[in-house]
Amino acid sequence: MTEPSNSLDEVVHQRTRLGILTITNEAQRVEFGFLQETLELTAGNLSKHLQVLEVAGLVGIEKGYEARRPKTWVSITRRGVKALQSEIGALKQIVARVEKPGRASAVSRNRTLRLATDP
Amino acid sequence: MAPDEEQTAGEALQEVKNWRSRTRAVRHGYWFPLVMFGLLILAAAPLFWTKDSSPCPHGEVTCTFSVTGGPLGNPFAQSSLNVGLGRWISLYWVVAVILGYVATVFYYRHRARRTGVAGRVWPAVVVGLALLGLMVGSSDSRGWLHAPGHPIWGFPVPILFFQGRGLDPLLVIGIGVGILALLERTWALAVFAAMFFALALLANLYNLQNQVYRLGWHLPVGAGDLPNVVLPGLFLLVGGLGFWWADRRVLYRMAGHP
Repeated sequence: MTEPSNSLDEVVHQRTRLGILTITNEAQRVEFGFLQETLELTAGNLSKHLQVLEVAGLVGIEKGYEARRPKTWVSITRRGVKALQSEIGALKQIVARVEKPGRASAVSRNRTLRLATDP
Repeated sequence: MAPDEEQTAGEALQEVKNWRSRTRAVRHGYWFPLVMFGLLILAAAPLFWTKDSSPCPHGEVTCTFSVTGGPLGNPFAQSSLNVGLGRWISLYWVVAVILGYVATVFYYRHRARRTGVAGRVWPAVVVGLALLGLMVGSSDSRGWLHAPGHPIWGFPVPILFFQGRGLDPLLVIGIGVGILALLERTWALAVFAAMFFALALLANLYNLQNQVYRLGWHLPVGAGDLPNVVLPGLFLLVGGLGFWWADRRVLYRMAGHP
């Protein structure tokens, strides 16, 4: 049987990037400032993660001006939606395994999922 | 958070849930179209006030103060159920529904600029306006699309909707609210939209004046059609204000207030 953790994508399986995908999946597009505030990140740190996701084709970035102020809008791509669904599916499978009484091995019961917080 | 901190999958999912609910709370702006359409429906009420003014200009049994004619014909009020409803009703509905949807788009854009989260609203607007166009186009008075050879009450049956009591646009608004509920991914709005659609259907099929009469309220002459307009309008308005209040509370709590 395939381990659910095997289907975790390294690009998505990171706290900030998972957060970016989750938030952008909930809207047509999200402004940089909202992501920064919600994920409690510095602008530089958020930019790095956005770059990783953009290179992977998981988000689209749109820059422009509103009332003479520069604005950056982020939207999720179809590929991003699929990657997010896959990640959440894998996480749910892991939880289901851990919670299933009797079947879970001691290893999987105590299994923890390393979700890196650094880029 | 420290690097290499370990999280369980459950904790990660909980965090996903929190991000999701926070974004949804900020995104939800659906109270606005409910209030807007509620007010627009209520503003239509005077057009449904028929008065006895004999003789009517075109020989109707009863007539309104509305005029007849115009570029649209009278697509929403042409059946025998509505002898005397003026053509202003049709013109009013077309203008009001377009105004309601355009205002909704502007409100969502304004909200996106203010909050940083842009909700999806275009599908609801496109479907709503397309249905309105189809409704006008299929009407007997325009004669573009109506089904030939189905005489009922002496006129061909239109392809779309009822086109009888002058309230068909309530269904367009109801469908728009339903699509908005899907886009906003909210059960509360979905249930509300279903209830409004049922009420809109009832207002198109049944004379609600009968129920008002059973409650012991006697409406003045000429006001018989008003319950069918006012009740759906009030339902949307009160619901919209309720959602607005809930929206304020959520945003207030998210701002860190108890």
